[in-house]
Amino acid sequence: MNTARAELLKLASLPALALTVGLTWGLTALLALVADGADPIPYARAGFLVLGVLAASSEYEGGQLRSTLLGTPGRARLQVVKALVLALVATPVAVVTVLIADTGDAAYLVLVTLLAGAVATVLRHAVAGVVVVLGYYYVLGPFVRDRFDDGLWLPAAWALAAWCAATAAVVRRDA
Amino acid sequence: MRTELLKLAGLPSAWVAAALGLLIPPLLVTLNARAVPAGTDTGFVELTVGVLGPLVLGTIAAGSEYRGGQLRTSLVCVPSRLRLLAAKTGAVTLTVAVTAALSAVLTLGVAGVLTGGAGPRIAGVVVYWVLGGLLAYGITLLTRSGVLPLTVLIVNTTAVSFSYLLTKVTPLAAYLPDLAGARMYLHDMDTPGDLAPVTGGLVMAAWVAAVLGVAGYVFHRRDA
Amino acid sequence: MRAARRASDQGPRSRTGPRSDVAGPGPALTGGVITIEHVSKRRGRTTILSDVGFAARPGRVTGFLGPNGAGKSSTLRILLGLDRAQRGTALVAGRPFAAWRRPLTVVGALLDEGGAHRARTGRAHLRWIAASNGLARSRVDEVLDLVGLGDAAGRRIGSYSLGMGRRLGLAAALLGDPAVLVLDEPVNGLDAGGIRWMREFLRRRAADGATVLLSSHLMGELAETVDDVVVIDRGRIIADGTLSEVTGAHPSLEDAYFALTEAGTRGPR
Repeated sequence: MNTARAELLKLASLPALALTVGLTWGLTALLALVADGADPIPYARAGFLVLGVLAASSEYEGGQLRSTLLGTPGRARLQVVKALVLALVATPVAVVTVLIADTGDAAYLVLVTLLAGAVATVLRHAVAGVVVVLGYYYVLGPFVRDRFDDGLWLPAAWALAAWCAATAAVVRRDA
Repeated sequence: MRTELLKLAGLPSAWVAAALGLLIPPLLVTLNARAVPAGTDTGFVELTVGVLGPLVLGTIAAGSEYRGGQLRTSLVCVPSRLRLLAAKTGAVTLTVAVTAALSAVLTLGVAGVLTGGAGPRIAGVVVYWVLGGLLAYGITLLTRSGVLPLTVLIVNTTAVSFSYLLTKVTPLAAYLPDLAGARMYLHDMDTPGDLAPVTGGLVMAAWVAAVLGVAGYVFHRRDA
Repeated sequence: MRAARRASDQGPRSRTGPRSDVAGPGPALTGGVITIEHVSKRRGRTTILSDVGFAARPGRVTGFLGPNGAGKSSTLRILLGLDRAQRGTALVAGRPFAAWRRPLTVVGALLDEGGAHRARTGRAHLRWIAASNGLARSRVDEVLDLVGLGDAAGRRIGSYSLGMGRRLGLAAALLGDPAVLVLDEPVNGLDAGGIRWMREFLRRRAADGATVLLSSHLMGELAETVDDVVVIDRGRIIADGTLSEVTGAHPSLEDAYFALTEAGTRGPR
């Protein structure tokens, strides 16, 4: 549908995203080759978090949200489409990453991207998004994590909850 | 330099960054207290992670000029770009130094290791934070967007550190700024080589000076 | 040809046609009426708009005039669904903006801030906007030529001058060939040539039947461009009528404006 095409075009025409993907793949490959025994996925995850943040916060650069809303006034629908498109774009990136690293879970990486995107949507700012998201996963993460089991349902639940919160924020806020 | 300090104080995000630096290390100490046994570096390891605050502050200080054409306004007030740069560098240094000192005292107090002999080590932390903040500041001046430097620097400061990984590959990695600088106050480091605290500090300072030098040169020649 | 294409997208046609004394090829497009009624908005304890209401009709250029901070931009943003009002309605051709399925074919808006990401090229920016409303890709090049950005379209928006950025915004507003145009300070940042171009362009659109609503705080320029004037001051409408009605006995719109708003006693804002 039109909204989805527009969102895809947006992501495709943002050079920073391609750069992030490239760097993530490159780093993963480097780590997989060079440092035997080290799991590249925690490093690659940073790339996905940044991808999510950049994709979502780009809407708030230069007042672009207004342009978007002038063509697509339905905000809740817009957010849903944005989430789906982000997931759509992140999936092949994740699959390739997992292939390069020869370990890891592509679905997890996609969920992590979505979560980062939701946070950046609420914060409306790339640097803030990066700090919060990386701060949580890398600084606080090690402490919080050990309590919770693996499995995807928790990240999925978080991603869903975060995206709902972000949607509510977009609907309520002045553009 | 006072103008630059005022500008920084006017940025709410700068206060957030300072708060991060001030609060994260003590928080980590409390969280760690249960899991990790006390050692020579208790409190100081957490302070290393706390450099996150100065990193963000440095990034914000550099990035704020590029947003919304503020650069043009600043340059009208202070025509010499290098003087502007020097003033900003000074503002960042001062702010970070104060935050570092406060955080160090707070963290070590919470960790229960605030002794008289900790003085030189606290000085080491302050220098580490200042240099870290300036490193982030310089890199952001060059890349114009804080996202890349922050990503690299934040990830590097945590358990998932590139520098540390690199030391497994080559002993030269011990001369990277973060590892070398940490020698100023950490006694129990798992990296090759044996840098004395002062040497470590000088190595880190050299990195920062190089980055600031390049940033200054580029800043000087770039169109606003 | 164009009228037939748009028939399915528009609401009820306005019964007032284009001005008969303005020469033109005849109504190729007829905008709907913009109706704003009893709009009030508060932010915290500040009242931004208080019972604001007026209409902008097709075939005419309506000027929305007021000092900075009077509430012009707020009103327009409420009309365009970007901000929320506590009370009142703002309709385009009888429906709220958000109710239109492909809004860009009905209303084109040029707002003050760029609305474009610096890292994209001008062309890429227009392409996603066109896609969002299912508009043909050829429209992108058409509007680029119309505003004179054909050469710069492949460059990053961050490298554009202020005037070029405004022209890009206008191009985006014209992508859907809308019959209603809403412009917030359209000549901000334009040079003398650009200002004249914009004035003539807007008058031509109105002559063709479009509804043009523009806001400004530059009275001299406004007086050259508009047919109707609505004056707002501190969140209230204080005058609403044709240019000659509002100017009244005063020698110029500017004098009338100052008399109405007593802005002269307040000093520069």
